[in-house]
Amino acid sequence: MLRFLVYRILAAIPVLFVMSVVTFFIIHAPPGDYADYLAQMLRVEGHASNEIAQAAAEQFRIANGLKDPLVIQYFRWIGGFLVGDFGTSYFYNRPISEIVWQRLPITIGIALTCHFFASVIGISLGILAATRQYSWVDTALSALTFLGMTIPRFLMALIIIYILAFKLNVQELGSFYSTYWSYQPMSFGKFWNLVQHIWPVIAVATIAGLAYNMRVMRANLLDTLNAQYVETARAKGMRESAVILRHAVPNALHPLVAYQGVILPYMMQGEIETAIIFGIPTVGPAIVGSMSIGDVLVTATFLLILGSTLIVGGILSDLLLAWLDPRVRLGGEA
Amino acid sequence: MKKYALLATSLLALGVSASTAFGAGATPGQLPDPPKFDAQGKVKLVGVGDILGYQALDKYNEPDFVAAMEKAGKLPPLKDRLPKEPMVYKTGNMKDGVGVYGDVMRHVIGGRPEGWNYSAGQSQGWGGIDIGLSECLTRTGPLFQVKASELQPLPNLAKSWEWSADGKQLTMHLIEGAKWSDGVAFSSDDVMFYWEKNVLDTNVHPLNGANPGTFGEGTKLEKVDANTIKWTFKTAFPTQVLYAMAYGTFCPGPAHILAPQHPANSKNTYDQYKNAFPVTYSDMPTMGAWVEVDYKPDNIVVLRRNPYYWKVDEKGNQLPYLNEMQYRLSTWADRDVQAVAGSGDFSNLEQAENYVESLKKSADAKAPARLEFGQRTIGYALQFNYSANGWGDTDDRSVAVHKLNRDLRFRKAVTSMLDRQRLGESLVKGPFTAIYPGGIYPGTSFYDKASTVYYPFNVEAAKAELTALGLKDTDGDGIVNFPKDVNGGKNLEVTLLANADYQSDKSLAEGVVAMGEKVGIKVIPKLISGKDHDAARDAGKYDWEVLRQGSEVITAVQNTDHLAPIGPNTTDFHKAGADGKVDVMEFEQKLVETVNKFIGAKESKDRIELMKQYQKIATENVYTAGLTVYPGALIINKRFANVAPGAPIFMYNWAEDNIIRERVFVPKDKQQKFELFADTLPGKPGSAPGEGLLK
Repeated sequence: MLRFLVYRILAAIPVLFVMSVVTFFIIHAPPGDYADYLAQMLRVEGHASNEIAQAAAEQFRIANGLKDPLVIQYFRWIGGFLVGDFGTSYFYNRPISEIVWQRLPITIGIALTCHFFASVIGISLGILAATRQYSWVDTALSALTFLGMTIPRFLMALIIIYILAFKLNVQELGSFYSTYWSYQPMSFGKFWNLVQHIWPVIAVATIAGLAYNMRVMRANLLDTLNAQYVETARAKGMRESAVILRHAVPNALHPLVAYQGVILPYMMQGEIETAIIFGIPTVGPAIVGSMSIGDVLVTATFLLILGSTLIVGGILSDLLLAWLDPRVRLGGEA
Repeated sequence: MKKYALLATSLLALGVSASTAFGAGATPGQLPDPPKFDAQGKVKLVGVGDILGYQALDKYNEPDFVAAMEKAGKLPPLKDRLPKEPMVYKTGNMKDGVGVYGDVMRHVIGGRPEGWNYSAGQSQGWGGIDIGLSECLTRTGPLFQVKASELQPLPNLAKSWEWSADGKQLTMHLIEGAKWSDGVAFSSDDVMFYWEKNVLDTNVHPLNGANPGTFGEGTKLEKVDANTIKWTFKTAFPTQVLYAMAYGTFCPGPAHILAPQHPANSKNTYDQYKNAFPVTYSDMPTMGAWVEVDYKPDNIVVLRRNPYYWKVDEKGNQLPYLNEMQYRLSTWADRDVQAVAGSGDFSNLEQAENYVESLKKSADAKAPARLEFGQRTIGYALQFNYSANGWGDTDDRSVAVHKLNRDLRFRKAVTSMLDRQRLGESLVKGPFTAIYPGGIYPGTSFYDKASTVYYPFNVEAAKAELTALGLKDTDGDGIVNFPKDVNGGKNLEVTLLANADYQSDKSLAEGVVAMGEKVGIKVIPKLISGKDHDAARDAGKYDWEVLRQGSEVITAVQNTDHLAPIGPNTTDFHKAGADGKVDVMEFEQKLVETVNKFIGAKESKDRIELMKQYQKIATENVYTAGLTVYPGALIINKRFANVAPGAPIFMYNWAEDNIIRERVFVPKDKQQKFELFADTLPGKPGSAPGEGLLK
């Protein structure tokens, strides 16, 4: 098991290195850098003339080493990264580590919440559909999964935000808390305010996830229900609910556990896409926002950390599977 | 006789066939007036003296909680906090009259504050934070309501000024006895510190780029006494500099706080000076109506009322009426959503596609926000890349297209192919958009319809101009070809740059592409986002560009140098090549001369006349092919009073300045409990965010 773990960690290192190089160089691809954004803001917001704005942009490039060769900029960044110094955000004028620790935990928290609901609801509905195969319940749930899997999450988020803001006058949008509650200590009222703000994000990301879980669970369970040992259990006179829940469901869950390593990135991606539309300050808006203005070190840092998080998630999922399934463990030692 | 008749008939037939073959070229036509619509506020034009004055009043008032602090000895008496002669806003110019204290204006912005050292170049996150915190020598935002005959920047920290007889010296009298928000006296020392240690010191780069050249090359500034400063200029009556003394290039910071950190007075580096007042340094002294007291990353910036603010209403009520300003730190797109939903109070709606839906929504009695439409100051033009000097793309095709751009017949063809009515309707149906031929925007102070040359939509005329240029469809694919000796006689393909971030820009670009096809020009759109778009534009990587234009065509007195290529890089679409020279055309030279005369003109009547000349030359020569103009809409929560009708979201400045927020109020019966720091005032400079408030 230890060898398995060490092997997976060592295998992750070159992946992370390549990821850091590729993301850094792609993000820096011309044209445009943060100095251009700065010049744009000076022109638009501050009414500065072109010459003034471009002179300010050039001063910024020199002061921040943006005119150095990219290779030097890369090693400057990755060198700091290895000792925990991610650099300073041009936009926030704050250490990037502060921004990361402010946004990453809440992003993972929301993604895990979505994951939890997608799993619990998806598996439950999968059981419901499999045990009522070809009934109207099965058909309705199939339609739901069809919609959940085919409607792009960003579109679903846009429709919801339009209805909430323009049709229902809902004011709890665009942040974690209303201004008043952001100043209060944690309480049930504050928690409820949080739920009011982030439920659309969780709902959209969950619907897509649960649709996949439901389909997989339904198919697995139908296979398992036709297995011989299930027939044997029935023949022994066990109640149908006990047959399903004690014998069929645990075995049908195995492929879903294996799938956890894949679903976590999917849920993170869901949270990120949806949060961008709703303007919730998590990792997604930070990546997109920083990329659009050329705050490149923030983008590169978040992408690398996100990549690391997903690799760690994959390793944890493999460990869980190895623990559950000796064949995986033995395969690792073979 | 019969022979002659035949000859005459033949000649006539030849004439007809020639005119059919070449068609009549583009000729000027009647420019329709912009449509009127009810939702557009009517601006009441007034004189400067109708808006404000400076005078001592018999009695002054302040909010009850501030009076209680004063009574408890926590604050000096109000009379001592106010200047000898405060600025007094005239009731007659306040739509809803004298206001009452209380409530909050809740903004949402996409920017983030870098720190509080504006003088050294730190942004406060935009969206009007710096406008609320800073006060400048003069003020331009409210000028949209000043009549043309009195048009010049409003007095502000400089309460009055006079020119010397030769026009080379300008003496300014600063407001006397005004104080920073921490109670320290404001004086000419603050002005001189900003000038000498920030503007003149080339190692410091104030936000918005003030430098010595901003106020005219070789300009000097000196202190006369504690409340008087004197400018000395190289040229006579450079009245334009009065605009440069407004936001955002002459808003001095507190010298008593900044100077000790400046490298001239400390061991700090310039970078340390710039960062000496980070976002965690709250209660930074200001001359503005509010002071920053709290900052939570990615959440909020809170400003509280300045107890030393130096402006009052005619009843002697110290301003501002609003106790607090809040800035939720979100995204720019979220600003519109929150203003419509009612969780924000204020937004500048600029995307015409959203007008109808937003108007419908605001018409609902239960809707929290209303829309205030101003003048048509949002406008787009098709700009031609005029550089034939190596700037920008330099392959054979682009060189050939740039050469065409420099030919008036080609520009006439392009302007005639544009169906501006349809272009406007592609953004929004209804009376919002108006036909814009180019030059100064219709309806603004310097616009003169009689001087505007308009080439109406006429596909046949456009085709005739192209044919006259030798651009014919030789391969029958519907696209005209260059003559054989130019660019290999290939199809005429033109790249069109537009900003992909905005639907309006994209819609207009798509319209131009379709209209180009009708006359045989293949327009290839280059829709690029944000900074990448700007980089492509600044590098000249385009043949044409659809661009939302700046203040130069709205006010003519701001960014005036953008109106013509008076310097190597002053014009977006015609810049110098590697030799540092701009290859100006004859008509451009006339524009340059007119603009330079305009900059040096002292009298309003001369300026008006010069701008007429400019308009004539620019539109006659299709300097840019105007597309459409429309008004911006201010989305403002219905509970606010004293918002001037027709306040534009952008004219001389942004709406946050235009509406004069210090005199905006919420009637008692509409006030909400939104104050986060009720009954408190800013505390000691440098307090931790949210702490140190005076209670």
